[in-house]
Amino acid sequence: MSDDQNYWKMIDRSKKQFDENTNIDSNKILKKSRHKALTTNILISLAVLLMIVPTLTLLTYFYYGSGGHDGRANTQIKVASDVIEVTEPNMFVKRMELEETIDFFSMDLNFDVYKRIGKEEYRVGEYDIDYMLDQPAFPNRTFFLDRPHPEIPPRDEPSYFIHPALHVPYEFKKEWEIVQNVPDGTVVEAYISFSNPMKPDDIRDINPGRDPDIDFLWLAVDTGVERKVVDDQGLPVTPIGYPIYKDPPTWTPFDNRQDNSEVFKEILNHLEIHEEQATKIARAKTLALEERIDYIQENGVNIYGAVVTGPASEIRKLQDNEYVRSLKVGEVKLWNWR
Amino acid sequence: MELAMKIKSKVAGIPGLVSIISALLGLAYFNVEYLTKMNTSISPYVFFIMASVFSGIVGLFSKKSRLYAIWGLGIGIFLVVHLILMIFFSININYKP
Repeated sequence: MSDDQNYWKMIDRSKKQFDENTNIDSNKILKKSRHKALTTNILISLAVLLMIVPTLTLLTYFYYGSGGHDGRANTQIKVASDVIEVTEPNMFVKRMELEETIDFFSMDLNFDVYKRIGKEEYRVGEYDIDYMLDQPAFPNRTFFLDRPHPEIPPRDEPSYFIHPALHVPYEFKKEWEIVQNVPDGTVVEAYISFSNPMKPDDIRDINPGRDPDIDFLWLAVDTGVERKVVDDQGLPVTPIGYPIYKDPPTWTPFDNRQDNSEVFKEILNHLEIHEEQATKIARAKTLALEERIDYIQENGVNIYGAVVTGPASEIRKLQDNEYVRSLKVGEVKLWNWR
Repeated sequence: MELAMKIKSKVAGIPGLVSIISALLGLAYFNVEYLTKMNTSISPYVFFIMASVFSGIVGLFSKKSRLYAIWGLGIGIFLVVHLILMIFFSININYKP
């Protein structure tokens, strides 16, 4: 006889003895116990299954809320908004409006970008960046611009600022024609390139006594790579610089408490730590930050171009300005110069 | 006397069962809310958590459903800690005054 048969025989004998000695039906007890064991199993299995989502959520929030000084999510938010402010001329993010959605070990960042044209701010686009952990995918950009910058920067040719060491392309002559033909009751955003690199404070020489009556919005910094238009590896670079705000948006690092050129240097150092993520968000395929930071440390902050805005009639005056070598027209809006 | 004992023994199992069922309802509420991205009221969630913790504590003293009470109380405490940490992290991530 096998062990199994012996076992069942013993169980039957015990059940019989139990039934004989007591008035309780052992089958009923067994049925009840089996039922309780099954219920316990179901309840505990259900609990374990239902705990998966809260556990993953907690781990995700812990991941994004911890790490570094501000937590990983805040660091990535800062990288995204800073990279736009320093690589997209006259474009900024209102950080109060920035929305994040956190899912299982992923984050979706959604925000609008603005430009100041004339005296008013205009919403000119939106960014949607998906992160897997702290690595962003290429952002989905939607711009509502009449003259958007190329999605992929052109190779071997400057797009809107021309470094003094480079020849001004023929197409740029047409830009003055555009300015001449823009109606007087409009305000214009223009990218001007200087005849020589200059210190940021020297831009006042361009419009002494506010003649022409224009506002400087963003300064393009000479970082050494602009004269080659490509970095060490031959990848096209885009201008890098910093904004000048009269009325800074909330929580921008360029809030006029500190010299903007110093803030710019701090931001470059911070972006260098997160260069991989910053490069994915920027339009340029490379930011060449190491090369640029070394150049700035050696030569200081010199600017070779600026984004300006003003009435069309005032922008026209720049054609005869000795400091201005070339101009490219950006956006044109109805009169708001008050 | 026998009837009283029977009733007492039946009642003794209730807090543990209430605790684990409340905990499961709390978990289910969180799952549905999170996965469907619905913004519902937080009060039923807090009610389920409180019910699971308090009946879990009561259930610990009864032999009959101690296992359920331990699980209910455990999940309840987990949900309390989870709620506090989630509020803390949500406030800190992309903080807006």
